[in-house]
Amino acid sequence: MSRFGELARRLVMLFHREQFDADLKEELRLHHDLREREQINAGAGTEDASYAARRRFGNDLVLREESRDMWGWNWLENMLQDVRYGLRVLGKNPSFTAVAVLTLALGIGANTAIFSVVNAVMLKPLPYPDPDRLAVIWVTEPSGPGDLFPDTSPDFRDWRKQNHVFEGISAVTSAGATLTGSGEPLQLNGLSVSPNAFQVLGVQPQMGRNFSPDEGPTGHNHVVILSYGLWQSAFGGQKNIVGSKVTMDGEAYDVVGIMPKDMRFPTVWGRNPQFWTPITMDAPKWKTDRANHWFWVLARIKKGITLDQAAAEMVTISTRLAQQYPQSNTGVIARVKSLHEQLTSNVSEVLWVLFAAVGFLLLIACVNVANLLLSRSVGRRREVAVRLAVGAGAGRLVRQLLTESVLLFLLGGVAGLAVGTAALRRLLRAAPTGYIPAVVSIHLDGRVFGFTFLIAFVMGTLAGLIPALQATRVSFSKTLKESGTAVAAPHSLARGLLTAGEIALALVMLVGAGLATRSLVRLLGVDLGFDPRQVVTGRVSLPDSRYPKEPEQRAFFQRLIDRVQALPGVVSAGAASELPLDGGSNGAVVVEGQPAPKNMWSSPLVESCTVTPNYFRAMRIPLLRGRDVGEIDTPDVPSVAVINETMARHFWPNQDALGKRFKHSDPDAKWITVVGVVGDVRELGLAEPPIPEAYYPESQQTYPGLVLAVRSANDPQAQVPAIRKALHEMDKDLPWYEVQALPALVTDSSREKRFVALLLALFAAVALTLASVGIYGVVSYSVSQRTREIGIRMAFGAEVGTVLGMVLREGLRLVMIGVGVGLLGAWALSRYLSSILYAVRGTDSATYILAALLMAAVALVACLVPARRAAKVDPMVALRYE
Amino acid sequence: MHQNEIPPGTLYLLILKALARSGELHGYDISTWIEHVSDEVLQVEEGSLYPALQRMLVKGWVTAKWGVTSGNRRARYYRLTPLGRKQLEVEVSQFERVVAAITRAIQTA
Repeated sequence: MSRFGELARRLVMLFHREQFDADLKEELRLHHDLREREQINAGAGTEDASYAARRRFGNDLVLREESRDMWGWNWLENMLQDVRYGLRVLGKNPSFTAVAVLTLALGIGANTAIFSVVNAVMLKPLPYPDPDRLAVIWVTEPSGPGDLFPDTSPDFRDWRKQNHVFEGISAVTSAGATLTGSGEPLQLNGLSVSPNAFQVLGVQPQMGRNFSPDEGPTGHNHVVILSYGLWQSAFGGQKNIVGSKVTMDGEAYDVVGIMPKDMRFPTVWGRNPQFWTPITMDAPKWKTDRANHWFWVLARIKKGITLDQAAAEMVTISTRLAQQYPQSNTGVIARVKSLHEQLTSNVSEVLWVLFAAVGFLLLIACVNVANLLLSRSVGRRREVAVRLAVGAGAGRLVRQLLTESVLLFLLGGVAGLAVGTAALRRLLRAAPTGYIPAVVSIHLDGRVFGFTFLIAFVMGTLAGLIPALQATRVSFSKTLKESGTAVAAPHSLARGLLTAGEIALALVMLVGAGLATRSLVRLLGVDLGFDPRQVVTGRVSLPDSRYPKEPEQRAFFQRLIDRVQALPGVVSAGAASELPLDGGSNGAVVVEGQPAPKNMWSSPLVESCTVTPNYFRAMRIPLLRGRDVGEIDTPDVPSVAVINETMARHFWPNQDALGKRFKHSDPDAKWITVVGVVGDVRELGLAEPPIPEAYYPESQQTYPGLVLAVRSANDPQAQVPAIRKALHEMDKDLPWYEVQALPALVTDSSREKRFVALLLALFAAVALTLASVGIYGVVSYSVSQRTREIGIRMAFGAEVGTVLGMVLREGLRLVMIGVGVGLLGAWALSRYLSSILYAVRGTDSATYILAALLMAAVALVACLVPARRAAKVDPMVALRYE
Repeated sequence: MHQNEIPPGTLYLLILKALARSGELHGYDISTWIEHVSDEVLQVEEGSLYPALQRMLVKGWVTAKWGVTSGNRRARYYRLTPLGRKQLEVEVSQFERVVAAITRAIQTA
């Protein structure tokens, strides 16, 4: 209470401080006069009396200041004074201020942008209730490379029955469907989930209801929950959609709910889902097959149980299952991961690298500004000395100089926030889709704001500290006596070290960017195994309801391909169940005459793909031996396959694979004869080495959804309308979707590396520029300080070359120290780069040498400019210069 | 008579006492009152008096009001507040405790 009253009184004094000050002044004058009268009454002369009174009084100004101090506001007044003074000083040197603020805006802006992403992806919790309790469950093979595999239905059922650590577990897999009945047929991507998926996640539909427990595994499964986006785009947001029926893949589904607009389902597989249907596990193949790994599991851990405890329990359960079912489950161990880690781990390593890069950039920017402040503080030594001489406290002076630099950095922070906002917007637009997890939303929030101003403040203090301390340490009598041009700047050591430091940092960034670029070049130079030029692709899926029988499906695709093949300009057309680079499904195989693998993990899995005749020709995948699949491979004759080189080499080393037989690991599988060998393609992505792969004729292993690959003589995109027309003439309700020129697919596959390399190169270029500006500034400053010395040397007959060499040597010493330290630093940090590298070692010497040469060359040019100016010094002018 | 500095910490006490006795005083009056009642032993430095008065204003122990002196000059008169009266009791008892303690200490053989 009394403290509150005190604060109120202080505030009154603060706001009426001029009145209070005047009062105090008048009061003191009265006191002085009365004291004087007293002295006169005591018999002193007028002059003596006045003197005595003044002597007792001391310094009236100091007394008033001390009285005012009692109000407790002097710190604020001092600060305001410092701020006003600082702003005036900054305003008086507009070019200095502009250069400094611009430099800082770049450094702080880059940090703001990257920190916004770090904040959203890594620091903020996922947008679900109690997100710490959400986890995903995969299985892994302990002795293998640590790859994670999807889960199986029987295992899932056992996990659910036997665990005591989860509130709920839910199976999730991707599901596509064609929506018809509202205009053009629309291909949708969705998810099949256990009915409790939304309870596990902790979200509710905004309209309608969640799935009920009997929908799905056993009961009625033709129900669907729509995303807000699909509801709006396909159904115009009709309120009565809940309770009505929609047609998907030719079958009627009851719409039971609509999800809220901002609800984002975790996208572990595929894209943002547009709909959810209950997962079906009662097909015999899925019900009992413990080798069929086809979905991932979303889980909510019980309150009070840790992730580690949950993981330990799942290891126990899966170890028990492995003993019970050795053939399918040996080595299959459940692995529990937090959902957050699952969603962010692939981007987080790259983010830390980028964060470090912009951190370095900021340091370089700060060093530049600190250098600017240092050279200015040398110019202000006389001002400081004068102020010290007339009694300014050193502490107060340091505080004032610090206020100036903090102000400068705060201005930089404001500009940086603007730069950062713009940069973030561009960054997010340029980022590959899906690279930043879709569940997080990125924007500038209080934390980003705080971060920006905290670094501005801290860096401003650090950068201002050295100049401020050095400025107040000067011996003022010496400085005042000194002429304007110092013989040698006292700060040259500090400046030199700072400059060498920024060269080192810039070199580290150059090496990083160089390694990333070399990786990208390696990646783009990879032999794809097919020729993407002039090929356009797109998928056609035949719904079960209208094409239930395999012969119908086969006939449809055969006719479609014949029609497309006949289009003018088409060179060749084929179809396959999966395109390269994307990955598909795989399984274990048994080779005739070789021992069967002990379990599904003990020999490499073989990728399977269904193809039509001419697919290899359309893709220009070379047929090395044997023949292509063809019309002779009817369902009635023994099964055949074309395999890739890797598979041939792995299973039949030093033999001819043609005519050899293998089969899938399931008990009723038939033998398959190898009739041809084709070249390897990059199946799992540009960076992944080829894996064993078998191509089966569509006529024997029919597949209801195939990707059409069409090679044309000219622009493949021009063929798209004609192909779509051909399809719609056969069935107007089938969409041709995921239509893409094959080169774009290849480009897409390298987009992440491209994006990271581009960002790192951009940051490194800025760093290189700032560092060269830095060294230019230091050398040209030293030249200007030594103009007289250089003039004298030249007057005594020094050659131009000697002067040039003298200045260059000074600069080059800094460059060499910087480059040396930078190379060591880059080498030490290179192991953190593994996440962004491909086929390049972090210690790749060529990159290091090139980066060091580039850095040295740029720095040399930066030194050369002031050095040439020094060499042109006219001795007469220099000596008169005073 | 040799004049002494006021022991640290007792200036507030003396100012409060002066105001309690005389009701309303301006700064010069306060210092002369203290010098007078102490038989010129205690001398109040202007350098301490005015900062102390400002501090007491902030603390809310005294209020100040402009008035006119007998010599017909404007002067700022200080007056105790109830809070100041309470503070006086606190300061007095504190001072007595300290003096008693010091007395005991120096009388110990």
